[in-house]
Amino acid sequence: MKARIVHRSDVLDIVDLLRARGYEVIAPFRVSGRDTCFDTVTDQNRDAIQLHVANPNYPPKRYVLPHIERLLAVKQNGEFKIEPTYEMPKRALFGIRSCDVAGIYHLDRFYLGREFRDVYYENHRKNLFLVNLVCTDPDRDIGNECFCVCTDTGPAARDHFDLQLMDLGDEFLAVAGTAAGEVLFTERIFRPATKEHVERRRAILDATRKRFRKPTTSWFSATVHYISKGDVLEKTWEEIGNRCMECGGCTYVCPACTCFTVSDRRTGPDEIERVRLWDSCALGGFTRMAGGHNPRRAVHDRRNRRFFRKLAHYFIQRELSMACVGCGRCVAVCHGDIGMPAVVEAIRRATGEVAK
Amino acid sequence: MSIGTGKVRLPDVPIPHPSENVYLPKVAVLDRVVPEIADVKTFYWHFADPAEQEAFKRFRPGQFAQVSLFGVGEFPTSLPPSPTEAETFFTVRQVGSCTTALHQLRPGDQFAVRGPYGNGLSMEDYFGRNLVFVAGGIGLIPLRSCIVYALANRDKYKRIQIYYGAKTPAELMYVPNLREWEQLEGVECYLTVDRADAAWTGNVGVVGSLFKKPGVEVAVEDSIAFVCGPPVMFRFVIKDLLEMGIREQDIVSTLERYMKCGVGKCGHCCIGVAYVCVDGPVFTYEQIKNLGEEI
Amino acid sequence: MVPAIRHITSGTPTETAGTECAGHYGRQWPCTTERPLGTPTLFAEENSTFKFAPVRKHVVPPPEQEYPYTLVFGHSLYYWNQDVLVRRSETLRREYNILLLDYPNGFVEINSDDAKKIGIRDGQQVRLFAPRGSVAVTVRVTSEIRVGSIFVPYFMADVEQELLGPSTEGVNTISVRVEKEPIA
Repeated sequence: MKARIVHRSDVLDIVDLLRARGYEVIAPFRVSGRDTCFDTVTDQNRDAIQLHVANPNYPPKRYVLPHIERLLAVKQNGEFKIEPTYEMPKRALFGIRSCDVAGIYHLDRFYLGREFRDVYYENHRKNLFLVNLVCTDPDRDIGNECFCVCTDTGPAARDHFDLQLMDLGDEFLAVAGTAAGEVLFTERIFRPATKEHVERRRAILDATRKRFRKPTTSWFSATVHYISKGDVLEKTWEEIGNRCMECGGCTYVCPACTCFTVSDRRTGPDEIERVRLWDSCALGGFTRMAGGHNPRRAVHDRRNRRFFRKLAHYFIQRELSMACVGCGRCVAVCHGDIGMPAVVEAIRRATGEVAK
Repeated sequence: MSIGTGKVRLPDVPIPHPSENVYLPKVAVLDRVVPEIADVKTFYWHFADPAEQEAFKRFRPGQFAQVSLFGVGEFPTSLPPSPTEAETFFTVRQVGSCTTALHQLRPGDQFAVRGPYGNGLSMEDYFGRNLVFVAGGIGLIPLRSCIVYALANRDKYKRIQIYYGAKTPAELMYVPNLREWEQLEGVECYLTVDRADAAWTGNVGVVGSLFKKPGVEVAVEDSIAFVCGPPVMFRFVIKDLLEMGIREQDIVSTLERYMKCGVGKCGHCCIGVAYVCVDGPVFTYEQIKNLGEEI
Repeated sequence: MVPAIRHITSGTPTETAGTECAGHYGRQWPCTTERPLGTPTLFAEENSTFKFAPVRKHVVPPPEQEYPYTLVFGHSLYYWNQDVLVRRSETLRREYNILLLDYPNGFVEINSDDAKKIGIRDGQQVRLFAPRGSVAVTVRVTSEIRVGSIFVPYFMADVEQELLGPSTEGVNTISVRVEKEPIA
């Protein structure tokens, strides 16, 4: 991987370079207080781009898997005319965190790496340029909920980005992860990096890793072990399930959740569109079959499902990546305090005691 | 965990062309509708495009298809015809909004189909063995495909036994087929009903009662058992078969789940470690036991 | 200062001027002239005192022997705001429809312990008796509701009418007795 140095005042020029190359650039902005969001960069808001802010709760997943996406447009006059509707935007995500890079990689593995390729996902992903920003500021970048050190996805992504930026103080270290990222290095703003810069990067990363509030690294592997072997007691799942309010929030903010539902709606007298929209395994209607049978009727069966799907070794092996990236969004939105780290801890404690 | 590596999985799953849109259904035309029992009808149909029909006909017994009723939705349904038969059809019970919409269609009306999906069964793997089919109620629908396929290749198998039960004589499925199978040389076809009517002369009792009837001898040695039916029947039949000595990996069944995509993406049909749509719907009892979740 | 806040606080001791709220996440009430940026801790200064004032406790009459269950009214879980919202949201609509598919005639929720005591199962018909009237409903047995309460979703509009009759004057809570409805 090639590395270059960008001066602090030139960092946002990368956004301009990408825009000049025809990319629609998405970057994090501050809404109010600690509320942040990803939005399209325009000439007006270009200077308001935030490098060090709390990671937006609404994940950048929606730029590859839109919240609501049209799959087919069907015209019906006498007979059906079925037209697939493809969107192929040229987009760049600027300033996304390492956890979200890992999230998009997981989606790649899931939607493109199995028996069937998802054409709609592929179209969104094909022209996507990822500019990863390493979390270095312990106060502004790292939230109380973050646990990427436990899922081995952060604070600096090792792969799957096009360009990685890291704040070294008055300079940024830029690392190219792909050929598309390397092309940018011909621009004037990038200067050669020295050994001393790389040393500084290592020192900053070492210091940053220590600033995470709750290191539960070993608990994760233990929990994966317990869940994969089926050692977790029904009682533990029930306790977790009892705290679930079935709002589905955790799945909607998760950058690695993949489930969707499909729905038909009428758009005109003879026109129907088929859309897919995000769905949540926390909801009772997720598995209910026509006729009324619901294999996961109890709340704890559904909660169990989400964590089993994310932590069972079988699925990690199947997708070659874990479906939890340690962003901590589920912790931030959960009313019942059963975000991923809390569940990992609960399972580890309850099952560990029995195992003894 | 042996999901996907078990014997029922075939390497030659018809994988579509990489750039093909797996969510794109193809227009189909309804030819005729045959009522089976109350609320259940058989729909004979063909694709509007003959090339599609040709491609679809490569399906295997045990696979399923997604049926689109535009404006209402899409639902998965098993394929009761055998690839050896000329016509394509579904047998569907009216339960939800989509199946209701299908039941309202008239011959000549259009709908859309995509598939076939799922692992299906490779009946070739069982050449030279005994086949035991145990079905209850509308559980005969997915097994019909295997039975017809086996009968078309009768010389390749040893004994073929069919045990089928329904609540009443009026609820027996595919009656013309059943009559044919009963008459056929070399097929042991046993029928039973839970409640008989005046005209019924056959056995009365649950499917399991057939196994103990005098004159019936279930093929145990070197047998493959195909079981499909309501959950209660499923549990008791499995217990009986295991007691008789059929191994867990030789008992095959199909599972059903709420499904949206059919290609392993939407996540609705996941049971434990398996996606029913790509790892199933055909599982051995050994696999079902190890899924990690109740079925 | 935001005009709306000036309007709200006009004439009160917290009336202030010059506070800029836009662009920030808010201020800790009260914003006074001395502390335009808000007061994170009240009575933080030395020698400042405050008094506790008794709050009159709302007296809930104990449940009568004859009518041991109290009705609680509210929205059902996936019913948000108005029908227009639920109808336009795919997921909410699905969840809401499923609830109604499982209980086609609507439902009232009752705790599983209470249900055991009365001897009713999920989906069974019961009759609620209040002093002024009675109504037949389907029960949904759940552990999400407190013992001694019966939750009535708003869409079960007839329940309140049937139990109270035309006049709702002077009624704070509705207590009922539950009886199994003979299966018709």
